[in-house]
Amino acid sequence: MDSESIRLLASALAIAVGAIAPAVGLGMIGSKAMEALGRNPEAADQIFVPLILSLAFTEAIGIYALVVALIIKFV
Amino acid sequence: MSKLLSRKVLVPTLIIIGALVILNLLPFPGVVLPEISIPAEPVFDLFGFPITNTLLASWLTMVVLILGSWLVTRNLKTVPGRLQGAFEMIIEGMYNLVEGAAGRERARRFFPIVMTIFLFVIVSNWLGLTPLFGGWGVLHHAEHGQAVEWLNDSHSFGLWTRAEAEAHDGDYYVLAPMFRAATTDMNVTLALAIVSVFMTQVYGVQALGVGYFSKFLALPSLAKAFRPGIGCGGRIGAFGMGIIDTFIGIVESISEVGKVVSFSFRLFGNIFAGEVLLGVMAFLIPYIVSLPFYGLEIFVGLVQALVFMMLSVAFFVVATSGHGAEH
Repeated sequence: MDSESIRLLASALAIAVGAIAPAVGLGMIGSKAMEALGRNPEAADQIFVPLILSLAFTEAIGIYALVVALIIKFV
Repeated sequence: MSKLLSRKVLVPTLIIIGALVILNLLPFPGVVLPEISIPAEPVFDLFGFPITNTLLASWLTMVVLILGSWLVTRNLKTVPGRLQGAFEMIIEGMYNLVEGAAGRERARRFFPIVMTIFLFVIVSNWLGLTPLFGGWGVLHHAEHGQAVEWLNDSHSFGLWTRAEAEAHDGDYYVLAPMFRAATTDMNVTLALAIVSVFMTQVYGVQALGVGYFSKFLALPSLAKAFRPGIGCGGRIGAFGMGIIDTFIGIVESISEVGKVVSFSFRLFGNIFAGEVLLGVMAFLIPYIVSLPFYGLEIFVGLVQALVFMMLSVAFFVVATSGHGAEH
């Protein structure tokens, strides 16, 4: 394999593997939030901000993988 | 069955099918896969200073914000009209959100800066989705296998779709769009992140005085070990706590840098990936398929602005609350 194909593979793997954990995490956050809403629908306003914050923190990890993949591919 | 055939369903379906057929018959220009470049492309020279398209876009964002705020606040009334009412609703909603997270007193202090960040980010995200952005600009003519030298190649000015029609074998056109959403430039997001983290320190010092820095450098905690009037065992225990606090301080200092990195990468990554996604989708199946993703990008632009703002508020709150160790 020449270095160009390794670059392609590496960038694809970076995002493919790097997206697994954040995807699981986002799903867990979402399911827990829905569960909490189901138990106590009045808490929607209080859940909203922590939900957004934890989604952002989790999603950031996926974005790191994306940035790494972009850097491998284009820089 | 009768529900499926009702006019409400039938008419839009027919319109969509008709539009698809017509779009396929019409001789529309092909969609070109955009050249993806992480650094912003310079579009012209101002006294030897390269002006990039994201810089232009951030100027445009500022113009929109300044003009908008001037228009809205031009003649404020006690009983708001339609425009003023709409904006009062937005501002009040955001204020309530900040107040819920930071409390009454601190919300008054934090709100101007976080709302400014929110407005800048959301306007630049959403401006990046308008047709003004991305499709036209400076066309660079280049040979294959040769890197494009921005500002030096022979270039012309025009629409992106023209490039494919005029390209021959062995050469190609690269477009430097005249405008590119300001938040797709690492410099912009890094600047916003530094402003936010710097203001965290400022608010921390305002609220806790010099004691704020004991979070990073655990001198007070270490000094406890040398207090007079505690026994030898107490001295060793206090010293141990001081060592632990010193290491926590190191971790805190690193996390402060980590905040800058995660702030800037999150915003940049989301918006840049959105632009790439839209470009690639439009290239794969032109005109129709990219529309749902367009809606997604509008949503992502809002969420990212909201996230930037709420994270800033959360960090401000943590910095101003003081920490549990000091009683």
